Amino acid sequence: MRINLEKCIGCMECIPYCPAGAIIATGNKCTVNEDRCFECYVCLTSGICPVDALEKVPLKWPRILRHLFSSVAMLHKQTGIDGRGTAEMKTNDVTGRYRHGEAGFTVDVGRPGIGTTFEDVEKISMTVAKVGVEFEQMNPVTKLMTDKTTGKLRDDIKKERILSCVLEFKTEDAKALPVINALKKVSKSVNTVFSVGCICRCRPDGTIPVKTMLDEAGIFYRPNGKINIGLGRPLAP
Amino acid sequence: MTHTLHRQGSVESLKEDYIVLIMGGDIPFDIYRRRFHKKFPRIYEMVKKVFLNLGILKLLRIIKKAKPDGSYGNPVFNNKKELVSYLKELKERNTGKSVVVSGLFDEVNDCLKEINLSPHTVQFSLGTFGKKELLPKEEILEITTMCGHHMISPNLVEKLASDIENGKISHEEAVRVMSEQCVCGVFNKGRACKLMEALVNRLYSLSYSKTWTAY
Repeated sequence: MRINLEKCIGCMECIPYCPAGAIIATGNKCTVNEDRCFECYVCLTSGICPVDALEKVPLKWPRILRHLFSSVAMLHKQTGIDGRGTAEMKTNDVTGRYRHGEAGFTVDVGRPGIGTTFEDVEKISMTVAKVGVEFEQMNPVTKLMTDKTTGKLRDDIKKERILSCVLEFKTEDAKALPVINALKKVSKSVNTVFSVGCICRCRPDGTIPVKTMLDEAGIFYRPNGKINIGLGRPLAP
Repeated sequence: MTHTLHRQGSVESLKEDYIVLIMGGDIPFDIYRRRFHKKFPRIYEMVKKVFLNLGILKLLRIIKKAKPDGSYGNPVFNNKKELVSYLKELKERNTGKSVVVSGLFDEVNDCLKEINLSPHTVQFSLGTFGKKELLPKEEILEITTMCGHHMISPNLVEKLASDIENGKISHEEAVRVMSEQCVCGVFNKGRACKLMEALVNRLYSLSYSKTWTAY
């Protein structure tokens, strides 16, 4: 994103709209700090600029990833899903992605609202990989891995800044606690924040094994979350 | 995307916040696109042209504005009664699509029991890890996390709070501006209005500067 300085009247109205804090006042005009910019286009689509001075810049690889992982409406072609590009547990009743005896994890790196580089994403993916996890194939971050067993990402994308992305993986129930401990450990070495989601298939008797494990280990979880209510028709029996 | 998982706030406030997501499954969008192209080539080309000219975000905003409830398919409820009635209808329709409810576990489970449904899969939020000192104030996060993709900047919330305090706009107008940034339509306007009122009271009773400055 850039601001056409010939058009900009320096009203500064666009500054608060930027989730990256990338729009800055320079003299009596506004400019975009290219390094900070997520290419989310919030400034542009808000329609706040009275003189249409906000302009898109053609995005090439790897900078295009900023837009893909920061805009909401971008479709991730490899998974066919917009937003952050994964359906995770939302379609579990149809896909069976997470089964009995497994604990699923979503790690929203950069969320809430801080943003991240892929360098920090890799720190997390490589840490949890050491515990022994299976990265989700239908996830756009997994598609950027050069080694799905170690969680290593492509080298040419590491410096790109994005609003957030979802690392997604699963493991057997017994490894859920070691995964959480690994996440706590790596949280001390990243330059951002990340929000963790823990997924569990409910038993027919209504029990939720992961909940029992979290309660017993005294691990905090919010009183609100997401429930797939099982109305989806399974793709396969 | 896990955009409704990490909503923050007190239990009392979250009792007025339920979101229903309906998902078509993991069939890639590209398959639908190709099927549509094959069946209706002329309409496909027209739609494609509109998309290219307007940009997908602008188009979604137009669709959102055209709908009476201001959303394009993700209903948000502020009470259990309406949630139960909506879920009951979805159950009766039996479309085979996945339905996900975001909200307080205890409250949502009560609703499910009323219509003889039970959770299939659950997702817990274990909270935020890492450099939490980078985060904005808690009361701002309660508002911004209602747009899970964080299209609403904390700076915008503070700017609008300042505008309310200075009598430039109403709470409702501020909430309208914020909700327009949330393209998915999962921003709860009623709850946001209450949170905004509390935020303005808190910020300005603590003798904050009355003029907004970016941080």
